[in-house]
Amino acid sequence: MNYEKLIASSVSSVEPSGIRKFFDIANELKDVISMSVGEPDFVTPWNIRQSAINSIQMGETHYTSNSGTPRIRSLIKQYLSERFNVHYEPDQMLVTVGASEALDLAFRALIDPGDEVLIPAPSYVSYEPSVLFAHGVPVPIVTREEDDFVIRKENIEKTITEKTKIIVVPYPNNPTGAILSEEDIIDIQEIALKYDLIVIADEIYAELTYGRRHRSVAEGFEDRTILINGFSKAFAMTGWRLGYAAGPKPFINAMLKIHQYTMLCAPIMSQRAGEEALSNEMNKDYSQIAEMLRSYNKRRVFLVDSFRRLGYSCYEPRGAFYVFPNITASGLTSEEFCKRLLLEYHVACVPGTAFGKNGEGFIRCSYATSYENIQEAVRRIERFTGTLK
Amino acid sequence: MDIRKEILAILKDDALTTHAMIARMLDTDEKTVDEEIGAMEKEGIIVKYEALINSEALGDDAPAEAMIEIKVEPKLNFGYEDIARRIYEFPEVKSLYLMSGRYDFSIRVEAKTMKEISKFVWEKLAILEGVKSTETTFLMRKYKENGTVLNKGNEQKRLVVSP
Ligand SMILES: Cc1ncc(COP(=O)(O)O)c(C=O)c1O
Repeated sequence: MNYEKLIASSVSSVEPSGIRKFFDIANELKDVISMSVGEPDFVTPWNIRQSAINSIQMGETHYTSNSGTPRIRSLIKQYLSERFNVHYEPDQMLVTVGASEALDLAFRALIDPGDEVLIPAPSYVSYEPSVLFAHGVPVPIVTREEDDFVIRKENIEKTITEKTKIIVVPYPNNPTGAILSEEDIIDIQEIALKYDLIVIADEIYAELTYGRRHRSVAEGFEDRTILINGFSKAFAMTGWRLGYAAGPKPFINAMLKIHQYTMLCAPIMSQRAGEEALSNEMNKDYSQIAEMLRSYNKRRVFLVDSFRRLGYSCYEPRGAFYVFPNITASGLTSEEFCKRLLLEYHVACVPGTAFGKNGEGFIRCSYATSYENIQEAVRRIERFTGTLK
Repeated sequence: MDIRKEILAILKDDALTTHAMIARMLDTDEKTVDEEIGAMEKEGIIVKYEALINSEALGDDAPAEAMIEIKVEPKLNFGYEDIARRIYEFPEVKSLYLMSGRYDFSIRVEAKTMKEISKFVWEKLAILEGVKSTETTFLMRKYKENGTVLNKGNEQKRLVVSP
């Protein structure tokens, strides 16, 4: 049987993730220092783990309401409003299996075949495939180092057609670490109004910003924004698979329709853990997050300064946990650079091209690993780049 | 941002962090950091910079340690301060706290052997004027000190590459 031919073209036409290739190589090598990890190196805080254990002990092993427990939604409401001045009611919210599911639902709920979706490039690897699976047309908005990797008004407007329906606004950004300023947000909101676009804001890194507080594109723009967030990054909870979407009620209801037939609900123990995560941080003035941030911040500064010292231009990221240095001075392509660094010096980074064609010339280094690991990685990178000059 | 609070948190985590690094982390200039740290040293907020040692890793060279709860009898002209001073002046006493509750002082003492600690208690501590009673408990193992877990066990397993 020709299995390949039987696979839906919307699926077979999508390339497997560029990150995957590196995974296979890195997995074979010994003493690899991995700076290619997109998840916190911290273990989920103990109070959160304990609350899930309690929940299981109490016998909470059933489905919850499709939208998520009333308590977690009311905590999310409080959290979004006190932390980001963003206001959604619990009935405008949907608790999902990771931000990943929320993104997928948003695209599926809104896209008709042929609808165009603007996606900043480089960006997180999932947006484009998710849009394609939903039979939409992803359209990249190029962002550049000179523009601090922020989507600029002119560049957005160039990409707009009558088919444009959605703009994805993923800041703080993976892989660039870029964040939006207040002016950037106003520009994006104006464009969304002018061209009648829906904003899908992936703000999963909202808690991880350095020296600036995160500003949400949904602030004062709730009625046009589907805000997506989750527990993976801020609370080091990647394995729990817990995220959420908040947005205009009709949109959330449409997403809920898909969710209730395909997922039913997010795992109850994860939701209980999420309740503890939010209520504890709100009660403690976000001190646990602040501690993680301090540790990320030091690594961030060290990495940026190291690349600059080695003669590479390096944008100073203000968010997430990635540094995105420009390695064109090495004379290598991103892929060559990463491959050689991995095979010869056992340091794993991800080539910028994994996040879009215009990621060429850059590599993504995640600093979600210990300071000692990063110091050793830099020593190896220094030896490697020394051979290139 | 409370710059002093941030500086202290950074130094508490790693006292060797350079002022230049702290300045970069806090988005300020080195001079400001120099000044703030200098001022905090002068004001006695930062007392000293010391290493956190996992004595268990020293093997046989590890000192013996004990916590001792002490009940005292302060008098009008011979208060807690005086008794405390008489206790903390002994070099064996590494820390001393005045506590609420069943007893008054809690001290941590260090010596080469348990025997030496016992001797310290009966020869020096118990007979001090104002000391009513002592209760010594020997420290068997340290798991966490000043917020740091000392013997990190199993490394967590993550995928080497993820999106
Ligand atoms: C920008 C971005 N959005 C979403 C996700 C997925 O998050 P979750 O674990 O909540 O599905 C990631 C994970 O790497 C991410 O980087």
